[in-house]
Amino acid sequence: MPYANQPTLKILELTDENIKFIIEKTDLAVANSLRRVFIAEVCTLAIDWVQIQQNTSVLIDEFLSHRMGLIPLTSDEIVDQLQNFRDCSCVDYCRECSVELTLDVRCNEETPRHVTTRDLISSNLKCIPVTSKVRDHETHGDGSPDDILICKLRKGQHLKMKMYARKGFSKEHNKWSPCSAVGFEYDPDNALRHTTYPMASEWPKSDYSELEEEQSQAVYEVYGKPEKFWYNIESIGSLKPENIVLTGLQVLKKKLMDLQNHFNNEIAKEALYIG
Amino acid sequence: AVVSTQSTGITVVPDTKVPNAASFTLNKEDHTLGNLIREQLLHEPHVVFAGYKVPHPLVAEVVIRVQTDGEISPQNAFSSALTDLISEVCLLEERYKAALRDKRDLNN
Repeated sequence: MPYANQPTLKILELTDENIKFIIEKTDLAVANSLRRVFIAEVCTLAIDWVQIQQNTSVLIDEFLSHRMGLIPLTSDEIVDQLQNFRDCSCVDYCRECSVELTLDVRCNEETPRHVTTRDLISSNLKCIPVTSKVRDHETHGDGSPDDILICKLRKGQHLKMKMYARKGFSKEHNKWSPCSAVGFEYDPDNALRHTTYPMASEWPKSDYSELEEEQSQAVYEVYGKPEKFWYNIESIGSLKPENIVLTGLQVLKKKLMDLQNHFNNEIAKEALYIG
Repeated sequence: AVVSTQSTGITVVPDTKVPNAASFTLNKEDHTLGNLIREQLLHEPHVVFAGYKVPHPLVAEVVIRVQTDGEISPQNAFSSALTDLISEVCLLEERYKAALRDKRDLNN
């Protein structure tokens, strides 16, 4: 306890897509591990099993399946309620561990029919394509995403498939990543000289720079350590950015606690061998 | 590389060549935990050496080596580092929730 850091956190900006915050008084390792967890270990939902019942489009089955997997699905409310697919007691997919989605589009007009995520029908209204959600609630602004195009069909072509979405994290496949980008910065004025510029004046200053006009780098701090970290987490839409951070912290805590449990068991086992 | 059949676990191997040293092998883990624990170990008192490696990038395994000066065992140092890290992340979570509440109140 006395040797633990006491980090402080300040949120700079919070929008529907972005969260910007600063963490201070902690180590670079902690800051980096958090960044890694936000990208790779926060769970979302994504389509993982596709059964193609009809496909007379120009795209091949696996091509379409791959595209379906990459469609972002709203995961905010549902990701905690679903069981892990591998832990679930069912044989294949069930309501406890997955969400069923269907797609059934046939082009009957002369003009080509665009199959988009708006045609995707979900069995659970909490898990729908991110693009469908935006248009339902808000009026169309410039920033709102259009429906994602899956495929184009000519007259007579038919696309019909059944899919299951399950929860997972980005280490298994990047489709499960909730972040599109995680901005991470420390030491904006290069006082620690972690970067060596041949000519520092060539480079633009950081948004968080505290330098004067003429200065290009801060004075070298020989015994300095990185202490203040700026994050800018941009969400894909499947999870709200504030939830990404919250879940990330909980995931890291859980990893450490599970490790501690395993470790205590291991130590207890060794004690049994000796004694 | 992560979804393997090996179970999560930790193996402790005392070092025979130097006194008060041990290696901890963590399964199904990577730099996220390795670097984190290593850095915290360096903050712990009586720790003489702390380092980690990922022996092969295709195998999800981390080896953390700890050597102490004898006042405490490497296992104790490791355990105390874990406790400190858990308390730090818990504190961060609390402060984050408070900051979020403040931000929401400000927006409203």
